[in-house]
Amino acid sequence: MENTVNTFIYSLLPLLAGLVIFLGLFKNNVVLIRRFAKYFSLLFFVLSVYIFFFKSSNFELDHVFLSTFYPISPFSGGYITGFDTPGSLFAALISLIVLICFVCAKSSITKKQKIFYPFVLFLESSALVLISAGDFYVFCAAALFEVLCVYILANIFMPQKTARQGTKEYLILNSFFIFLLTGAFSLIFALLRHNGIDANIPNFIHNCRDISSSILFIVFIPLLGLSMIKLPFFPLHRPLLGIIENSNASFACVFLTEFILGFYIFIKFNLYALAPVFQVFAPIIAIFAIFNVIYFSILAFGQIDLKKSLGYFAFSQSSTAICAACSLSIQGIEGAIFQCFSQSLILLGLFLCFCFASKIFKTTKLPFMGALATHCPKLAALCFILTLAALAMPFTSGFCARFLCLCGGFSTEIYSQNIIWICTILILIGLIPGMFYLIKVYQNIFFGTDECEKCKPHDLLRHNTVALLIIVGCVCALGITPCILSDAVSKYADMVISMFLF
Amino acid sequence: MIDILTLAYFMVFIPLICAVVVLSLKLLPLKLPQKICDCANSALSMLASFLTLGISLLLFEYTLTYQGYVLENNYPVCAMQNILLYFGIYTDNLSGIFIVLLSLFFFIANIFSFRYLLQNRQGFARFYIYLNFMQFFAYCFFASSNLIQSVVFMMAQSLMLYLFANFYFQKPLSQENSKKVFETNVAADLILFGASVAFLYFSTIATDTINAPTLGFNNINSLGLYSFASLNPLIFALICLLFIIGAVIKSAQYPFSICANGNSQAPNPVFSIIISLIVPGQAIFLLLRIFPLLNLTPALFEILKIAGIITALTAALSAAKENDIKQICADLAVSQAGISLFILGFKMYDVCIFYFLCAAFGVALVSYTLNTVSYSTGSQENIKFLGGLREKLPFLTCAYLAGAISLCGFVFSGFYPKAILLGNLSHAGKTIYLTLILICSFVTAFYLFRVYFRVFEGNYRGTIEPKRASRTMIAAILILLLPCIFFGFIFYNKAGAFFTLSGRANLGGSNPFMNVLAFLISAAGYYLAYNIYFTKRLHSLRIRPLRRLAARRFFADDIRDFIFRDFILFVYRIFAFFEKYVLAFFYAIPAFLSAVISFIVQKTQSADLNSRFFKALIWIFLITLFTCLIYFKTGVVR
Repeated sequence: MENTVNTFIYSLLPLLAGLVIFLGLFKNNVVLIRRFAKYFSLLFFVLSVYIFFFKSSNFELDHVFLSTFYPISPFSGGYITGFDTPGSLFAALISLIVLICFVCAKSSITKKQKIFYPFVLFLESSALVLISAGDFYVFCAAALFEVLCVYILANIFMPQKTARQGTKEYLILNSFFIFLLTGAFSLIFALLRHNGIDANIPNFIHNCRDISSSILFIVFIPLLGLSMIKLPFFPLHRPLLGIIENSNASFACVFLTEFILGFYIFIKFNLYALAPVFQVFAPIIAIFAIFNVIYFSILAFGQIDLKKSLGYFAFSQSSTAICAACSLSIQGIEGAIFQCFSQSLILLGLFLCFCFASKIFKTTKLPFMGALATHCPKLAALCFILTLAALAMPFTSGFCARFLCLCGGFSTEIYSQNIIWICTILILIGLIPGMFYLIKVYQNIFFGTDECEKCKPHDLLRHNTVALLIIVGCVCALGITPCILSDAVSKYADMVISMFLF
Repeated sequence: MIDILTLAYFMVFIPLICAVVVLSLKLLPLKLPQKICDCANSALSMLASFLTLGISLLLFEYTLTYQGYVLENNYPVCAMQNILLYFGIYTDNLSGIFIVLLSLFFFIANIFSFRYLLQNRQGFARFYIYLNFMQFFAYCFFASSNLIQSVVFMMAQSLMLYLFANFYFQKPLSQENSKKVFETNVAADLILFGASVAFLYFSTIATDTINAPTLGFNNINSLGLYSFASLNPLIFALICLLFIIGAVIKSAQYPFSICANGNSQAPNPVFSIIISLIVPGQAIFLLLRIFPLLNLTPALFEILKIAGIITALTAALSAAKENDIKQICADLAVSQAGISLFILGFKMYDVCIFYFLCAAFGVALVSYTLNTVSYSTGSQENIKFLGGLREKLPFLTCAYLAGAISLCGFVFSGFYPKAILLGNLSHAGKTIYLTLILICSFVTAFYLFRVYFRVFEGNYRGTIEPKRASRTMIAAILILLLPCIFFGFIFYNKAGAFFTLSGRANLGGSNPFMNVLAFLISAAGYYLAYNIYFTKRLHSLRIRPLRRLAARRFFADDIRDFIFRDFILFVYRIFAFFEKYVLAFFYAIPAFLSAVISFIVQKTQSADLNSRFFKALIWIFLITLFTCLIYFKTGVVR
């Protein structure tokens, strides 16, 4: 009974909290809604961290907090939920991101709070259900519900044309691949049931070696497509870029959750569950990833819109993680997960800083920004640390992530080793424009000609400072003691590698 | 009784402790008068640098006394998967002498700084925090026990270079230069980092776990041999190439001289350290450390030779056209670093160290002297507005002359390595390189004495009456003057002791004819400067293309900007065009198709079979059908 309640309730807790707000328990008391959401997120984050540490110290358990019961259908084999290591890690990360966005929402969401907080909680809940789902239908339903939450949030809070267009395209593309995936999963479902096996995701993963490669390929493509939209990959990046371009500080949770989910789907399904197919596709995906790194870095460098350029930079960083994962080495997979975690934190911090800066200047165009360091020293200092982390300076999480990614790239043992080696070297070249971009943006915002004459510069408010300090603390802590993460992830990476036959 | 190892660690961490204390003093609400705080910061930093200097001398003496014994210790600090990263100390003769040099320079910078900072009382605490952090990172680099540690602290040092270059961040020039410095350093760091990680993996390719200490310098030779034997030679050469490219960029070689020139906006005391030791020293030290590795790919040494000699010549010619004191010092440093790399390109390991050390003393002396002149004349940095300072600042004149004479290779420290270099080149029959080095000597002598005649001779052209240099500044220069005069002689006679450990005490011999020739050529440079700038019997040279090239620094900045900015922007425009039109078009296709289909469906459902639209549609359908039929029919017949 204990097992039955835990994961299920855990992943649905934000949904309940969101419903409490949405159904009007707090009426229209904005302060109460905000505090409830904030403290709930804090508690939820603590719970997520506990789950992560519990899972990392009990790796032998296949899925921690496993829940099994049979509400779906007599054939489905039951609704199973549970967390694997990256799942618990990313769940903690998502709850941290939501918490920080709620902290920042105090000053950035000034109306329609009754919609914002519940829908972000719904989004969080659906993301957690997607991560923990062991059932095919629940997985697809959660994916669809999660995209719907993004659509609703973006449609309500982003009136700009590009945002509307982006969300519409994002919903269509996601729905397309989710429906394809539903069909592919039905095939797997039928196949497993035909062989007398309970049809769920854990059983699918355990038995995938016995399934024909062509059938696995049918599942592989929609899953890859889904992760490629969320990460995103060229040319599917336009919709998410439209959302990022028009987001404010509180909406960082929306696109970062998408990144994390995309990466999780890639790691769990494409890489681990569908290992035989992935082995064939790894070099091609690596080449795509390298193209992405170079393409998005260069686009970020030349872009004058602050948020758009950060979006491009984020895309290039996530492609670095994908390339590391394609090396199919322990260090590579560990580096990829580390990179995803580190990059999400750094991007969150940078996005908040840039949002605060653009709020002061009342524009997102770089030429109209400058000399903020003299007016906002706290913001300048915190943004500088985050910029250094993004530049992979030593003693920050970015350095450890890049170190592992490069190490993994060189230690590949797949049949097309040379391609991965070349890709790893190209990563180095591809990252250089991204680094120049960061230096340029930092110098442009905080130094340069004084553009603060018409605006009223004020340094960070207390809640924003706290939010940024938490991020900076995490980034530095991971940089100094990366073993917090790498110890937990290495066992998982080992397990993933065991699925591949070299 | 404290053992030598504890002392070594103590030496490394003293600057860090000092920086933390100064930072705490700044952050804590002590409400002390500003003047007292500033004095306390200065005294603390000076004490720390004095202590480190003492310990570094002890350490150096230890490495000399116990020849063949290397002080090494490693602590595992970070484990990632099966990679264990170590923080350690590895002190042999090479690092010993570099550490002494470093400690001495930082001690001098501390002496020099107090007076300098008193000028405008701006950023006192910040300066000392940065300075001590820089010293800490430099110690961690020069005393590092493994390649990964070296690269990590080199990256950290890039940050300090940026912070110092942007110390006066209100100045637009400072902001622009610091950005360029940081960009260049970061790119070089990334290349070196990639090369190190590749070497880390490939050197231990056959082992299940990567053994401790990771890429230790104690076994770099065997690791190099092992990877050379087991790897594809091209991949091995590529790794070495990355190391060389990274080092060339880091040491401000042409066209990346911005790494040195860009620091001209840094505070004067630290500027001298940066150009004389930090920028060229780190790269050269790294190349010396991985020399056994590079030795396995001899063809790549050509890059060092070519990059070195081009840099030496272009920087010297640029300095001959320059009027700004700091730019001249930076060009001087870059030129000397170029010659050091050039020497390393000929695999003259010992001569490279010897030349670099002598040049570092000379450059530091010239730089500190000119900075003191600038201080005395109210921050006047243009040599056109100086002059006649010989009588007002006699000690500085002597110090400058000593530095210039040494750097020209007439006498003092600079004479010995130059004589050995020329002797070795003539012995090896490298006539072209020999000629280029002699041209470089000529230009060096010319611009150093040009500066001398402009600054110290003639009439004073400034507006502010020059004041006397402070005693502390003179003391700092005096400390530098002694090694600049005597170091070469001592090192030359004790070379065996310095290099016993590596067994490479082979400086080579000098050629008396070459020495005389080099002396005459340098003297010609002096004579030309004398006639143009002192007696004014000759007008300055009017070789217009050369003057223009020198004024534009041989397009070094343009080439750097092209690589790091213009080329990327060019590619960006192509990508942006693609993104804006082509990709947008593809995204518009589904919407367009659905609109067309819905239009057709709407029209067909209107049930008006006699409408023109419906007729046209039927005709199009029929024509398409018949075309297809005819095509496939003929296809089958054939």
